[in-house]
Parts: sequence; C-alpha cells; structure tokens
Amino acid sequence: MVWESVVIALTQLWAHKLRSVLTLLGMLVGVGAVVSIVSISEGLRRTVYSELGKLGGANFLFVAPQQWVQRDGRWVQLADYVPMKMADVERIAACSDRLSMVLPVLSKGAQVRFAKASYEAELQGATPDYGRAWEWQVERGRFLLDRDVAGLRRVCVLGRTAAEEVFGPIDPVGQEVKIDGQRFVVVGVMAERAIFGQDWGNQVMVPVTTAQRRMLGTDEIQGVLAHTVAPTDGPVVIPRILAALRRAHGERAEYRIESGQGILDQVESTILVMKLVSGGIAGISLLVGGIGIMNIMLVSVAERTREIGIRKAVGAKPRILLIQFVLEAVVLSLCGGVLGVLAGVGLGAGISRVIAQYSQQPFPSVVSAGSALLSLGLSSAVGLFFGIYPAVRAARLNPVEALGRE
Amino acid sequence: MLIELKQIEKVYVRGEEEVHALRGVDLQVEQNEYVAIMGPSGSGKSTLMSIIGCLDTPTRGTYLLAGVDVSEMNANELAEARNREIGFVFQTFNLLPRASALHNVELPLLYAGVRRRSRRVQAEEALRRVGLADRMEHRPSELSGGQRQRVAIARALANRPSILLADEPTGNLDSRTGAEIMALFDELHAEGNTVILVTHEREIALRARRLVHIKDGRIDADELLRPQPLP
Repeated sequence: MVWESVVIALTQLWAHKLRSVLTLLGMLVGVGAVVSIVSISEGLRRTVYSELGKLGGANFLFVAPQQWVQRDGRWVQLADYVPMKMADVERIAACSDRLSMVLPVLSKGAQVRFAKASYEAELQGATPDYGRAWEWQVERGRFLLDRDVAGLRRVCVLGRTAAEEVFGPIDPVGQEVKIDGQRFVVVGVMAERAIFGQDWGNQVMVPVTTAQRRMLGTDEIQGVLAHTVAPTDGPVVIPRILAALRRAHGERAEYRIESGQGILDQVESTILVMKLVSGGIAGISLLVGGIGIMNIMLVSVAERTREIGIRKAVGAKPRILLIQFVLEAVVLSLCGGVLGVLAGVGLGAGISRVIAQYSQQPFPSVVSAGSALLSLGLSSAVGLFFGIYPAVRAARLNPVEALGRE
Repeated sequence: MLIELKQIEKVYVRGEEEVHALRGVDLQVEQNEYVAIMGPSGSGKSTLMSIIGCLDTPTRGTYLLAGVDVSEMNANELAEARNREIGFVFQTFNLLPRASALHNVELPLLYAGVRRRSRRVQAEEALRRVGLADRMEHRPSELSGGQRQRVAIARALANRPSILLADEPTGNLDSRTGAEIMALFDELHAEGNTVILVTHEREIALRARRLVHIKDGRIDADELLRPQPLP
C-alpha cells in the first residue's frame, strides 16, 4: 500500500511538472547552499592544515618584539620597545626542553646581480636550521653551515626562481653574485616551493651574522621562530618564553607571539561561522521551501477533492489517504533535497576550482556523505512536517461533500 | 435481512437553520431485491442513498447492514463497510481521469488489500462482465459515456459487494445508451445481485421490482411492481 502511494505521488508530481519544480526550488536552494558551503569549508580546512603543516603546523611559534600598540584607536610606538638580538635566540632555546628548534628571523629586500641580470629578491638572514624548519630541500650544492655563520662569510643560497631569473641556464653553484653591491659566492640552490600559493623561490639566504654586520650594520633580528615538540606544548612554552625574555629585558618589555595552533583555531572558528551561516540559510530556505510544499499540497488537495471522494467511496480509509498525501509531500521535498545535493556538489566543485585557480594552489572540494545524508534526512523531515496538515485535511474530507463537488 | 433502517433521521445544520433531510425512515431490503427509490429533488433521497451507502451516518435511528450496526461507526469502519458491502454507480461516473479503466476497477480491490496479481485478475473479470474486455487500458477520456458507466459498474462489482447502489445511473446518458445500462442492471439482478436504484425518472424506476417513493424526508409509498422470482 505504501508502494502504491509512492507511485501515486510520483505520478501526481509528474503530471504537474512545472508546479513541482517551482515548489521544490526552495528546497533545492537551501540544501544546495548548505552542501556547497560545507564542501568549501572542508576544502578550506584541508588546505590550511596541509599548507600550515609545511610550516610546522600547530607546532609553529613566532616571537617578535612589540613595537607598536593601538591606544584609543591610534598606533603609538612603545617607549619600552626592546629589539631582539641573537642572544634572545639562545635564551628562548634554553627556556624549555619542549622546543625542538629555535632560529632567528631577519629579512629585507635586496638586489641580486650577475653579469647583466638583476633581480629583486627577498634576503633572509638564516642559520643552518632554516631549511629544516620549513622542510625545504636543497636541490643543488649545499645549505649554509655553522662555519658560514660563525665566520660572517659572504656565501648565499638561492631560491629556485631567483636562480633562474639571475642565471638562466648557467649552473649558479660556485658563481659569484652581487647582493646590494657586495660579492657573494653561491653555494646552493633550493628546490621549488610554494605555500598558500605563494612562491618561495624569490628568497636568497645568507648567514644571519653576515646580513646583520655586513649588510644592515646592526646586531638586531626581527624575531624568533620556534617549533614545539608537540602541538599541545604551546600553552606551556609561551609563558616560559615571555618569562625568559622579561628576565633579561625587564618586565615591561612587550612581545607578540603567534602560534600555528592559534592560526588553526582562527581557521576553525571561521569554518564554524561559515557553517552557522549556512545553517541559518538552510533553516530559512527549508522553512520557505516547507511552506511552499504545504501551499502546493493544499492546492493539490483542493483540486483533487473529487478524486479523494471517489477513493473514499470505494473504501479508502482516512489513514491511507493521510499516508498518501504525506508521502506525496515527502517525495516532493526529497526530490528537492536530491537535486539540492547535486547542485551543492556541483557548485562546491565549481567554486573550489575558481579558488584553486585564483590562489594558484590545489583546493579540494570535499563532500562528506554525512552532510549529504543529513540534507536528505532534513528535506524528508520538512516534507513530513509541512505535509501533515494538508494530508489531514484530505483525510478528513466528508465523502458526500467531496463527491458532490465538480 | 440485508438492510434494516429503523426510524432514521438526518438533520443538517446549515448556518443558523436546521434542515431535516430525513424524518424517520423505516426500510427493509432483502438479499437479491431490486429496489428503486424515487422522489423529487429535495425529497431526501440523496441523503438516504448516502446513509445506505455508508457515506454518512444518521443523526438518529439505527441502520443494520448485513446484521451489523453501522449507524455508530467511525470514519475508518465506514470506509471498510463501503469497501466490503457497497458498490457505487454514480450519475457522473466518478472515474479517476488519469487512470486506465483497469486501474479504476482495481481501486476498491487495492483498498481491500488484495494482492497485485489477483487484483488484476478480478478487475479484468469484472470488465469482461460489463463487455469492456477490449477497452481495459483506455482512459475515461478515450471512452464513450456508456462505456464509462460500464467501467463504473465493473468497479462497483469488482470486490463482490452485497449491494449495487446506483444514483441516477442513466442521468448523463442518451436514452439508447441508458437503456443498455438498465439492461445490464437487469442482468446483474438476475445473476443474484441486490440492486438499489435512486432516481427521479419514473421510467427508470419502473425497471425495478419494488418502488419506494420518498417525499419530505419520509417514505410516502412502498409498492411491489412485480413479484420477486423465487430463488
């Protein structure tokens, strides 16, 4: 009997194609919006995790002195600004055994010249750990060594793009380049690399000491990069780092610390907001879709009063008619749900492709079976809920009156 | 006794005013009778037909259908009683327009819970009985008026009910087709079916064996037209 009702329902919907399509449009939009937004936010999460993973993921910490603060809406330079120096790298490294790596950060723009070629590169004052910290491989030659740093030697390692721009087909290793007018020997070339779609190949690494003394004429660094052993170490290590720095520079020294975990938390809360917004959209459009379904079912019941009368006259019980009309509403909204899932998958894939093209990095579109099933379940529930009232009206029709109506 | 109506009253409330459609009807119908209920419009004959057909319940009085009191039944029980005991034939045929003749005839069997296979067999048999063996897959719109009424009669017969209840069955047909339909009712009666005709046409009513006149919600006269054939 249920099967018969489903057949009747499908026949009815097919008989009124345009009306059915218009009615389930509401469901389609609602479900489609949710499925596509969930798919995009899952893609965002995966991208962020995999890209941030290249930087050490949740283990990553960056410490820099706070030079500017916002007071009453204006940026003010702190009087107690204490620049960081190489000694701070040692201090941080010594403050906890939960740190696996600590290195200085010092960078500036620099002009790299060879023969007639010239290239605007990003100069990095680095230590031998630099490549390891970013899991960045050397493609040719070698990376910087301890003795390069200790000896303030004029050696450099080029990023892939910088090497190609400056040297073209020539092997750069062993060649001499001019960086901001000073002579450096190229000792290595890094492998190709991009994170969040941004090319790292424009970097040129020189020993941090060389960059300080010979190029910038300073003993300062811009910040310190550290890796914790485990992602959960952050909350323990961060206060220790601050304590160690303030012990050396005074209690009023301000620092800003960014952690990989903090970035991931931000991403998670962004995704949560996206999901809540999509949930809101879904709620509203399912409500609208449901009202549309109720409306069309009321029209259908009114139009088919005579049919209902005939069915009652030959012995259809009210319960059977109730089931038939509820099923019709459920089939209608479920059709909307199925089309919505398909539309959402398509839209999600399309938007992901656009994002991937725009950001020049892979951006997966992830459709979870869970969100698809939830959408279908929800749309059935909407059909059930909004179908009950019209179905009750159909079931309760007085057969004499129903038959009498032309 | 197949039908036993005792002091049946029906009162409708229409706005402020009460309409007494039936004012105490006593009627008994035996198995295999052929009864015509006749009366002018507004006499209460349609209301009486609705009550006999279990489409409606009386305000007062009792109605025993095949020994069972149906006057106090709820909507579900009435539906079951209609399905089992009554085969309706209406003036306007009342077929489902989108369904084939076969599907229309299957309808009461569907609600009786008959399985698909035997539903089809029984429906085909009923359609053959009314002479529509070659029109089973046609829709009502593809059939003539007389053929439509035959489909309706086949539908009324399909579940082998106790009573064939026909409300102005020839009202929408030309006289020749109407005569054919009446001949079919005569045959069905001769085969042992109980037939109740509701009509305002004397000519039609005279086909029956018994004529019940109804007027102002009461039975005015109850005459035997010709003797029942002995069983």
